[in-house]
Amino acid sequence: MSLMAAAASAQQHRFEARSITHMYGPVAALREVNFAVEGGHVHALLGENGCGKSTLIKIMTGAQRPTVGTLLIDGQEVQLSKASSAQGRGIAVVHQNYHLFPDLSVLENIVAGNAHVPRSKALLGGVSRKRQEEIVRGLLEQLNIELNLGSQAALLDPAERKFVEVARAMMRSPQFLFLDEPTASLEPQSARRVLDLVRVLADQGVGVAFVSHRLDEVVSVCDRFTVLRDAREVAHGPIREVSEADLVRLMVGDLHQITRARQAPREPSEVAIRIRACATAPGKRAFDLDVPRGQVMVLTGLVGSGASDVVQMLGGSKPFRGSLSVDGVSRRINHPRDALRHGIGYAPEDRKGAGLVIDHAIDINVSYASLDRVSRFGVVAWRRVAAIAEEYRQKLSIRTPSVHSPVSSLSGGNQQKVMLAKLFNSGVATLVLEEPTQGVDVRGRSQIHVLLRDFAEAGGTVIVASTDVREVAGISDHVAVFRHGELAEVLDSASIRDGDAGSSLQEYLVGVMESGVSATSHDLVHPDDAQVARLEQEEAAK
Amino acid sequence: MTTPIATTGTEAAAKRKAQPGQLFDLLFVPAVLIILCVYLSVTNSVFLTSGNLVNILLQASILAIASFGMTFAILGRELDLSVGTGSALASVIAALVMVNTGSILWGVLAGLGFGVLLGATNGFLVTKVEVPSFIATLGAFIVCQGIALALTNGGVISGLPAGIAAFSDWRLLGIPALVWCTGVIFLVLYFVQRKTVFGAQVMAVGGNPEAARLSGIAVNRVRFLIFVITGTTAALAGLALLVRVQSGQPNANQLLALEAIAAVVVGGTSLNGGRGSVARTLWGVLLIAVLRNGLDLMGLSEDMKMIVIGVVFIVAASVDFMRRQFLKRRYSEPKPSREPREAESGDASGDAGAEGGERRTSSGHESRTS
Repeated sequence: MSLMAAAASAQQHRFEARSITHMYGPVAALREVNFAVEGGHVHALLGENGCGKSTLIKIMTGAQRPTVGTLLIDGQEVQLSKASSAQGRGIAVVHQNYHLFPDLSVLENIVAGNAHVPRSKALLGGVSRKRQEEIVRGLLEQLNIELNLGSQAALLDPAERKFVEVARAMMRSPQFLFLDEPTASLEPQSARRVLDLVRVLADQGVGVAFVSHRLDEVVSVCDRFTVLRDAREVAHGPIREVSEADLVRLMVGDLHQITRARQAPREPSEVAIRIRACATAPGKRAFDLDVPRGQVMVLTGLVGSGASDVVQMLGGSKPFRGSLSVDGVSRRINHPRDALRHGIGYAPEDRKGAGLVIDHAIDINVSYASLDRVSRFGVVAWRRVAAIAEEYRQKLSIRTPSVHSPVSSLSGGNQQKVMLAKLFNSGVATLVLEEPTQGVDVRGRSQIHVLLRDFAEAGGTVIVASTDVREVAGISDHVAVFRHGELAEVLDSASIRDGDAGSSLQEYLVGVMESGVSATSHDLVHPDDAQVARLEQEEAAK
Repeated sequence: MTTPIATTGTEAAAKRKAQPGQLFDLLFVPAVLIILCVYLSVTNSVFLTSGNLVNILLQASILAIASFGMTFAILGRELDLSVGTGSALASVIAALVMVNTGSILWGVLAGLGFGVLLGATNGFLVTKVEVPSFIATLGAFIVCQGIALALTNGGVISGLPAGIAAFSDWRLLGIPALVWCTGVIFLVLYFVQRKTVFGAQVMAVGGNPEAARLSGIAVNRVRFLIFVITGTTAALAGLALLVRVQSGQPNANQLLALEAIAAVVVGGTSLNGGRGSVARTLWGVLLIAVLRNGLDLMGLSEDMKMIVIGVVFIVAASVDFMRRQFLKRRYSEPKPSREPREAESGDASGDAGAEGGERRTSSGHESRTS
């Protein structure tokens, strides 16, 4: 270890992305973002889904060229035209999802793709297995990882798999390592082991960029942070100067910008969806939940909180753990077909992969959940399908030259509208939606929110799983907050909103999501621009 | 938000301009077929005689029937390799029943019944036991061959009732009964695929099984029925074989499944499922049949014919591949534009998505029309 520490202090490399702007067509994924990884430090890259984190990582690891902006290593401008040139410059990345060969051994997985890389003294290509083992063993020892080199990768536990991936990345002795949500699918104990490894890497002089949604981890392992929101950098600075709650506020943004889609009807209505003794996963505390007709219930929480599991169960996408009654009648849902039969229409988060057949035309997609309704004696009236789709095109203002265009030609927001049209057309009384506006631009988002409110106002019931606090504030009548797979609290959003000039719902949610402590015990400091400016000033002063 | 007038304007323009691209895609194979026919009729005096044309249709009938069924499998992202020996076994069973009972009707029913059973077995293995269709139907392919040989000791079952020969010779408007039957089978399956709920479900399942499931489609039921259709068309192809050669043939049609897949793909149906049609398969079958006939007329040997047809198959498959790559590039990965444009400024992101849609389509028009 002492040797490593010496190496670390010798030279501190710095990899900097300066004023990066990246456009996907006309949509900006990043606007003038700065980010730097420094040897020996762990820099947290934070932000909600869709804020531009993954684009920034792609750019900094050579998977994508920025539209505008420069990358510098130790002050020298570099061009990363592809992933291999990034590797050549000492930049490595460990992706969120596992990229292991399940049938190969740990050793083979670590060596894979690195066989031609000279590491310290030996070329791995052509060297004996024994020599490979020696080299890998040396590396693991250096990283303070214990792994049985002969084990089959498929049999490893999740933390060990992550170790293998990190070790593989470290085979090339990179100076900069990007870890994209390395703990996303890990239990707290396994996550701890990975975090320890992150610290070891930093102590040895590696510059680590660390992406995570678990802010406790970020606070415990990182030195600095940068928060992105809506493609912009909203704050950066040393981590010790902010609390977890500060970070959440920075990530979710300012409630003052939210214009509510519409005020909800205030009269109490009967329960449409009654959930009893439902658990999001085996071993989680069961909960009860009632959703009134004509209202919008948003299930929220940090990523992985269990909110989306509830929605998936209601949609029939995964088995329902618990009991359910719809309009007072007890129902079983084992398949999306059952859900539709009981008037529940489900839209998954992954529109392209699971929601729509993107190569098929808009009108055909609109008909897929309602083929029985547009057919007689098993014969589909395709003219009627086209006419129906045309109607939805106008009603939902779907931007397309023709309903016969493939769904793949539409923007994210318009694809989501096609999803909604498909569910509307199946005649459901309840919509259950997962992240309905993820990857949707601002205008599409507000249009979709209005559609959902209209649906509720017309007597429908809407259940949305969302990690976007602004969305929660924008459309909800009721909010169910989930934490660690369990229901933490159910709120009537109007009463909270009315309580304190707009910002308190957000404050409240942040509090409940993070710790389960309700807003009253939190100090209600608003994350205003002044605070961001203060952090930036302090940063600049250094 | 744009005014309604602006929207209709773009709509009309797009409809006018989008058509050449779609038409090109749709008419590509027929156009090649026509060019081939013109070439053959100019270079060869025999080609355009009614006798030769009827012969082409007659020769194509077995492949056509099997290919129409295979289209459903491929549209649904499945394969059925058991069609070849399955059809041979169907012809053997039908022939045995006819010879032993003297009844054509019982023979036909037995053959068809076997086809349904074969399809149901494949469907069961694929949907319930979850054996990949490639493996399940490959197994069935081998089993069918074994049964056919066991039933016949490798010999041909002849001595069919006289009605079969009469049927084989029967013509309407100069066209043999078998060709008429093939036409009827085409019309039925075309209707099922294009007009029925089941046909739409097959497209959905092949296009995106998860989206189909979440749309409430009983995916496994659809897949099961796909195999019942391929099994039934295999039996029909076996009966066509029986009519053509006046016997039950345990060793015939060995490669029929592969030829049918080739015909489906040449016709322009995507091996990835969810795109194509029975009508396209008809063109594919005709193209292969005319090509084969033309090569015959040119005096090419059987081995040379195989080489040419194999090459045509590969070319057709790669055309489909290139088309998909082209579409992928155009739609799914929006290219970063070189200059950041107006969306750089603060609140432009609202209109950005919608504008993008428009720009993308307009560039699409250019590439289509050029």
